Amino acid sequence: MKDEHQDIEETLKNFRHIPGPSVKRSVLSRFAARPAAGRKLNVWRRPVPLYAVAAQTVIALGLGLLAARWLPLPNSESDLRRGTHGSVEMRWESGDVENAVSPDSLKWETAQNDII
Amino acid sequence: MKKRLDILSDTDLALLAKDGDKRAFEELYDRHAVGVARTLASFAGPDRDLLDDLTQDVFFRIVDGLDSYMPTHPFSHWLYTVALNVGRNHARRASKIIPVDPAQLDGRPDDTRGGVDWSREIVQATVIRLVRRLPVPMRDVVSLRIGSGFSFAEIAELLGIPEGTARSRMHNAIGLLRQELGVSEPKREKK
Repeated sequence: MKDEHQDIEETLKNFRHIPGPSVKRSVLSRFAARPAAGRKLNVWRRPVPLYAVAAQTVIALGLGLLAARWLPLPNSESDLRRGTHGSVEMRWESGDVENAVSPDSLKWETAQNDII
Repeated sequence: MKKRLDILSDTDLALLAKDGDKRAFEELYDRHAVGVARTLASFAGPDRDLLDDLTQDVFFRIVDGLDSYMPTHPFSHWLYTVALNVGRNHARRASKIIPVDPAQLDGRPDDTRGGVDWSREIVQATVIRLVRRLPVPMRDVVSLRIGSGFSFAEIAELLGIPEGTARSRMHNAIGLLRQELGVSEPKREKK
């Protein structure tokens, strides 16, 4: 019985089919067309994730607001007229107050004081 | 360079292929194409054009699944599992019984066109066709045993059955094939 079984099994194992060359070509072509796995793109070609863009925008706005707080921006019409915005505090600290204002603006203030 | 690939295991080659090494994948193909085709013959019969199509299908699926391959199991286990699934799918689609022509069993000892002993080819083709008619559990074991050369332990692990069950299914399958072929023993080929 064992010998008869081995005949059948040998017959099956002796069946040999070598797939045609077109099969190998097709398979290797498909492999070549596969997206490059494990390879990283150059930095400038990599897609930027949305969360990174959002985070950078928030940081930029925050820094902008912070910078704006410390910048001596004009806050009154008189400052603009005098042209001294941004420089009043510096001249006041140096004691050079008289030179911090123009004669015309001084007259305007004197007039205001008179009204009061 | 070619020699270096020859000494690598299937799993190592698969990992190289996963990273894009075409030569590694080609080596895997060369090693297993014939075994895969032989495995598929249990489901598709000896039709060589059909075997080409099914073999291509198997390796296409391997290419597509390479990115998710993990070396937790040997590559050959994955490969032949895919081959089994492709064969089963084909058998389900085909699901027709090829009648066995008893006249084909006689062989034609004087017919040696092109130097090929067509009697042996006919017997072989007949037996392959008979395998298609086996019950599915037996056919799975037979296809893996003759196609991949796996041990019964490996076959049992692939199919999720005990090793003893794999052995008994193979034994019973051969017995059924013997019945289909007839009571008489097939002619032994002179070597």
